[in-house]
Amino acid sequence: MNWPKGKLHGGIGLLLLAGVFMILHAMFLPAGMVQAQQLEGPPNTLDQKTGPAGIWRDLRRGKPARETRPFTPPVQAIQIEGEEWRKVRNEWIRPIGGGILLFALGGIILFALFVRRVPIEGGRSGRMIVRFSRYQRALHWFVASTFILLAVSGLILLFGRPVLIPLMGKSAFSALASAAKQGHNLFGPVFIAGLLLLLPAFVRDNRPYWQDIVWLLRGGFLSRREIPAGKFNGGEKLWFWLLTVFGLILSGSGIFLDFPFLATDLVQLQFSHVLHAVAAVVIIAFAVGHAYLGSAGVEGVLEGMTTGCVDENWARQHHPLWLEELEAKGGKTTRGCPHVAASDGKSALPGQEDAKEAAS
Amino acid sequence: MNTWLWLVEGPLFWLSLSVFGLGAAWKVIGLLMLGGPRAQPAPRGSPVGGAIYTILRHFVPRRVFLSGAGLHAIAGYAFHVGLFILLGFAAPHVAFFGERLLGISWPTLPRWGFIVAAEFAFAGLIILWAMRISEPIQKLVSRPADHAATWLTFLVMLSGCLALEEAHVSLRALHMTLVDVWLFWFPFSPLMHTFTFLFSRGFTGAAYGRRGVGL
Repeated sequence: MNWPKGKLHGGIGLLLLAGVFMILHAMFLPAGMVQAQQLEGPPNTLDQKTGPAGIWRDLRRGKPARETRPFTPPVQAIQIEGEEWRKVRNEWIRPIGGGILLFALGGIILFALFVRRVPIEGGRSGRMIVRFSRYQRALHWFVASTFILLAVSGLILLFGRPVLIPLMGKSAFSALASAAKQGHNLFGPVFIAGLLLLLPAFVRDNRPYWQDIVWLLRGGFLSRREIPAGKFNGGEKLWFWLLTVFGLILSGSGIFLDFPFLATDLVQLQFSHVLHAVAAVVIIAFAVGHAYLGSAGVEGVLEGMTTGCVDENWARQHHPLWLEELEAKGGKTTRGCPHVAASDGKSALPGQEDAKEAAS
Repeated sequence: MNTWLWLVEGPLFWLSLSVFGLGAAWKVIGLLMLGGPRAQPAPRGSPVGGAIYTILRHFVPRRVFLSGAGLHAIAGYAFHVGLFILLGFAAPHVAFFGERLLGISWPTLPRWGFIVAAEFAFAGLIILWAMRISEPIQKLVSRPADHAATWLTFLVMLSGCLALEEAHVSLRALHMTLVDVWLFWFPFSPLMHTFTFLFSRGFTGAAYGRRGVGL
């Protein structure tokens, strides 16, 4: 190629000028801009060979990274245990816990269908004896009330996303979940206080004995003939000790969740949450059975908790050892018991007239 | 939703507040108009002193009743004091009273104080209700209106606490709806004991004070 001589000289001149300009530009560039170019981004403390995808993978695996602030030690950018916790909650506790609760509900329905109501053999005697004190009854209903509030709000929080959102939509569930969370956090300490008062009030009569194991092994209420029991039978004692163990787990873990500043790290909170959910599912499943057998399932049992007294025939049928003990010690008392008519219309309370006549 | 909130915080609230004010005043004035017995012997003691003494004395349970009524008294105080603190010093209430009713403001409870007061109030109310359903005598003297008053008060308190996050209009509207129902029903319900306990105690105390007997 033949370049005209003048144009060649002009081109060389332009190149020289550009070179000089670039040198001058570099020499007189503002100091901050030079610094910015030199310090572009923090040094990559992660594996530089893998690129952005590798960096992201490392972060998700919990590899520490240095912050852009100077003099700070490397920190864990993502709390990877949270993902494990989420999986345990969603893929284990939800389906298994839901299954346990449905199983308990199904058991109650089957009991109601096939066993129906366990009647008082020989009908009511009309003789009422004291079973629970005023203090025990007040505590029982106090703990039961707060437990129901906590169970409902807790179930909304645990199962609400998969169960309720399809039914009510995200917006309504958002309000419901907010309410459930506030209610759950508020009633938690109230329940704990009640539980800590309730357990000592009932522990004396719930000491386990060999007869309780026999009661359980023979099938309890499902047995064809009554199995002798003390003030509480094996099933009631099992419920009491389950409530004690799992109730205390529920309370301890709940304190961490309600007051998260008590925990030293997130793992403690996640562990508390798993414990809390497992204990809650166990207690709710047994509470459903307790509520049914303590009300509609067995005739004459509920009045023990509503009036403090039970019919003597009921006690002889379900808790003969307790009745024998009361009679032997002379501790059988009717003080404060309401007048209840016997099945034959007579009231056997000392000095009491025929119940029908008295009522008229 | 905003319409619902506007309704229960606006026209319905003013209507129920008016019913509450006028109804309560009507009942109290009615009680005062009843007067006392007309023909009475010369007083042996001070009726006024007896009334004041009895009003104050009955704030403390008598020693002989402590074993039986101790829990009842503690629960009663926990509920009433807790409710008073919640009503008068919870930040949302102070803001509401200041903006809508009185035009003035006063110091409010911190959040933890609100929670503690609410927990005492709830614990007290639940124990009182538990005793109402499990004590044969209390059960016998409790009318459906007593149970309704307990439950309505419980629901008002509960809905207020559920709306604590203050992030959902629907929860605030639910709380205000229950507040309106509570105010509307107040003068016709056992809730009137808020005012009438003074007259009841005072009348009894005055009668005995006149006879020179301290209650």
